[in-house]
Amino acid sequence: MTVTTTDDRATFTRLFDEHRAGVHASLLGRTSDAEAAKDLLQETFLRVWRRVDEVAALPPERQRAWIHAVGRNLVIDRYRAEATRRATLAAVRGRTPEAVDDPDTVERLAVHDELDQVQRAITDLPEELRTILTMSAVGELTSRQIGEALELPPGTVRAKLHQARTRLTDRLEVSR
Amino acid sequence: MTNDERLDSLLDSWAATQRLDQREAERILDAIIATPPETAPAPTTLPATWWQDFSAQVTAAVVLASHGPRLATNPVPLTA
Repeated sequence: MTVTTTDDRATFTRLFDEHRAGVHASLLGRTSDAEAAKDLLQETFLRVWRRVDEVAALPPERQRAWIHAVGRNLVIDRYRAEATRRATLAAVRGRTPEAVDDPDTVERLAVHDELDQVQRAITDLPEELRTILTMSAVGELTSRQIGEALELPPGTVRAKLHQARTRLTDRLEVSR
Repeated sequence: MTNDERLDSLLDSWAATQRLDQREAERILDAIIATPPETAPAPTTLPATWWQDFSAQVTAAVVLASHGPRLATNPVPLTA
């Protein structure tokens, strides 16, 4: 049986405080869903809690990569489960999976102000660009930290961040 | 204001609406720490030491079976 100690709690709290903003931003970027990101954040850190000794023993940059990899895998599992659920629903209703109501579409009809436009423009970015941009803007991570989390060179992160910003500028007509 | 500054301003405003607030973060932290430590699952396979012992016994049996009977190097003298 695993027994947690006060030291474990202190170690875990330190890991949580250090990484939660970045992990949350990454999950938000991947899912574009605030509620899902919160659920996944809790699930990610629950796994860290269960293996806190193991994670704490890693060098700092590996800790970040380990925690983000757990989050990434949870997102993939969620996508798979969601795809199965949609396909099942569609089969039951006699509709194609693509025909299932898309919350994004519904949302697009309902929102009009500037921040909603930003949100939509970000949601429409390819997942990798969206994740990197969200980790930078929401998580306030540096290119090096994003690189450690996503296992990419910092130069690649900077290039992709630039690409994301260029697309947003064009989309939002910032220059108008 | 340059395009970059304008975009930064938009992104900052958007990011502020997306961040997890402190209260929510504390709720998540408390919920996780309140989770009882995971109990190690009951072993569903034999322990490694059992396999080591078993393997040693098999090896010994194979070695024994592949050798002929030991020669009597010190025969007991026949007595009348």
